[in-house]
Amino acid sequence: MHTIDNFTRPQEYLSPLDEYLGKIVRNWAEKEVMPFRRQYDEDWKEHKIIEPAFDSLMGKLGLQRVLFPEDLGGWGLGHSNYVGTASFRLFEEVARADSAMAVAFGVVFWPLIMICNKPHLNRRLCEEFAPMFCNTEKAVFAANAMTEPQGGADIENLDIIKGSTIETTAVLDGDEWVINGHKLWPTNSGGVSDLFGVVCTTNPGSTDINDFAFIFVPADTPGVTQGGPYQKAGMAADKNGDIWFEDVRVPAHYRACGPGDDYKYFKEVITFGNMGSIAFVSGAMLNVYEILKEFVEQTYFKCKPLKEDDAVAGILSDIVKDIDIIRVIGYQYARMIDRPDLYGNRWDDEIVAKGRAYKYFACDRAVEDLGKAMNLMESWGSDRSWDIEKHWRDIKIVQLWMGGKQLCQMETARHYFDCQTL
Amino acid sequence: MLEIKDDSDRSLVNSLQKWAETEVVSKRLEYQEDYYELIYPAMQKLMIDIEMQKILWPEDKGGAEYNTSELAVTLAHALEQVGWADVGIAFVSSATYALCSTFALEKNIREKLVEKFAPLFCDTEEPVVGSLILPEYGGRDSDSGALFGGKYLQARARKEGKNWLIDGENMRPLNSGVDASLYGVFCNLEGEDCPGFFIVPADSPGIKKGDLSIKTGLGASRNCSLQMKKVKVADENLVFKGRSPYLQMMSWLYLGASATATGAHVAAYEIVKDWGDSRVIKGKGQVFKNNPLTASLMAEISQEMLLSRLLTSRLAQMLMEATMKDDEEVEQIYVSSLSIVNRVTHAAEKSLNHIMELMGSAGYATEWNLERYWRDLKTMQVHLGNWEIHKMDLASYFYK
Repeated sequence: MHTIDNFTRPQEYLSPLDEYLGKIVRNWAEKEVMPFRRQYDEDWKEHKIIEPAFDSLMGKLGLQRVLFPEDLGGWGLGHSNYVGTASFRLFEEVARADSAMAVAFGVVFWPLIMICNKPHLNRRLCEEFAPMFCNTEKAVFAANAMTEPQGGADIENLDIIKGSTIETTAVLDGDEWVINGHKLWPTNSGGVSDLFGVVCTTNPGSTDINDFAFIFVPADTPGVTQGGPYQKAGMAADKNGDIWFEDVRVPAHYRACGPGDDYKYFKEVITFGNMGSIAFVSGAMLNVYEILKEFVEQTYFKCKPLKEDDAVAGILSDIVKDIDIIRVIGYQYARMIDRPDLYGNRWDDEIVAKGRAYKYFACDRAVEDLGKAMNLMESWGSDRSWDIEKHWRDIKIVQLWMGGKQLCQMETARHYFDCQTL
Repeated sequence: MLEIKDDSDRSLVNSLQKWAETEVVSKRLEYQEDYYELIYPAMQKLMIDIEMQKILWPEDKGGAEYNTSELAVTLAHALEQVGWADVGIAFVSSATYALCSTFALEKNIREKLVEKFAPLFCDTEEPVVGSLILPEYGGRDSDSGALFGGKYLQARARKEGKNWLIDGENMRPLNSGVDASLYGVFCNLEGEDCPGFFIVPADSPGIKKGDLSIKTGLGASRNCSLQMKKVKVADENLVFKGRSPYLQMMSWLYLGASATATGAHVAAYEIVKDWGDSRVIKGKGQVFKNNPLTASLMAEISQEMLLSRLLTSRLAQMLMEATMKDDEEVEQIYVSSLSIVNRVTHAAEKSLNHIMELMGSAGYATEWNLERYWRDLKTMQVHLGNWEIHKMDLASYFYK
């Protein structure tokens, strides 16, 4: 009998943690998330049902610590050569149960990449922030505060914009940064984060990459105000809201990597964002396969299981073909992240562009396939009792974020066709 | 925009535009999808104040006696406008009109049934909803009943004297299982070789409703499973037997659904137009809608919207002009309606997906209302059935 484990994974380069991590996260997902996820939509604001599952995964199992160095209480994944493939498996297993939880969990690492990963490990900031994540059994969240009201995710269009549209300012005043600005939509905003990585400019309107600054701001710093979570089509476990920074003062050393390097290594953040997005899609689609398989086996048409109808089988084939390809592409990209010696630095334009292309492909296929799966299931496809409609709602936002489909298209074309103005 | 030629249609559409603005659009951010705060009051205004539920019934019963084939064109205009406001209300209305078309339309008139049910729609201050119980997928473990087009009739009826007794377990209505006043049930008829369609009042003894089901969208269609145990209905409530009148009814349903989807398509176009007018990308200065990539996508959206309107309008014309006197003509109208509803709902799905991609997170947030149309439209589309199965109807017609 075929299961989700029959979908292809490159066995020759799975991480040494793969089996162990996969097992504990799958166990957690099946016991602590999947039986309750149908209640998540109504819990979007309070997270009364959702929060204990986060505590268990991130605090008790300790997965929020993985990037930090071992001597600071972490697992040292940030300086390993399997951070990509190990993360992919983690995110995939969480997303199989709930992609919003996978996103909220994955985004904890997003700002931390700037300080935990080699070769730009910032030991001082790791020492400062590790206790927040490593000395607790409660889930602790972090967020990347990037998107701004005036241009949305345009900020991520780094090669063209080069930070020139950023309106959140950072001014060095003695040994402190003074930050002012308004961010919206970060994952893990809406009141849940304890730490923000804030994309700022030290010189508004400048295209000098030295003026692009990535600065850490603890959420309880005076001058930080968070709005409540937005109500959305899905993704209840991922809270998004507004954040206002008003004369927020943080120590000068809270800038992650420094002039020029903040810009350079922020591209690595984009790379991990694309890899994570493919993993979220892959995990959700694995569960879609499980749901669909159960449905087409127990549902009868013309006195046969639905799967035995040739036309239906054609659609089922389209869907599993895409799941397999998405997974292979995702693991391949994770491997490229793990082996810069073979594929280039994680912040290189080529790696970023390929990530955009893979994410674009994976999201497009998943959105279309989920639509087809719902159609096959007829009214059951929109019935919450089958969970597939939840995946349909959740996965759409994965396609939309990080500049969405159009930015993926532009970055891909720009790279492969040497476009100069896109 | 297509021209509305008929003065009374134009007047109705104007009333519906006002209703949509004041009763739905202006209130939906505050009340979200709350049935009692938003949907029910809006349906009450639509059905009672604008008299949409009186439209089919005779004047001497308090109706508008608009039961000729020309109704198809009026409904196409009206349901597009209702769908523009709320897909769920338009879908429930479509199902109700389809149900009533089986006995209240001039071509299908059944005087006794009109006499019996006109007061239900005309002498009330409450919106009246009809629910369709159509063939469904079967299950492995149960006796799934008789086949119709490869699916399973959800109920069976046997004659007892001058009445029929209807039984069905775990029935899954297309719409409004909770709120319906009438169920239209397509049943296996004991001892007969073709199924029959019954009108069953919802207050008949022997009907048991299951729990409210939670679904992706269509808040106006509150649904549940149903059980009918020896539900007694009069012989006259057996409206039709066989495939041909069933296809006629489905053609009316598909007309309503096409108009509904077109309305949602137009609403979504207006949302992205509003959003894209002031949005800048690639730094300051480049207006979003002027970017060639986004403009190309926006062109596709408007093209699909225009084609959907034309197709829906054409379907309404076909239904208006059809005599429905022979099975061949009925079959032809049915395959056209099936093709059109599929084309129109899938085009709307594609456009709404594109619009959400253009708007990014804003399209996904409740605040901009797009996501509601996106969920509602998809929910309606899947309720209309598996397209792979529908395609067999087209193939068997065009390649017989």
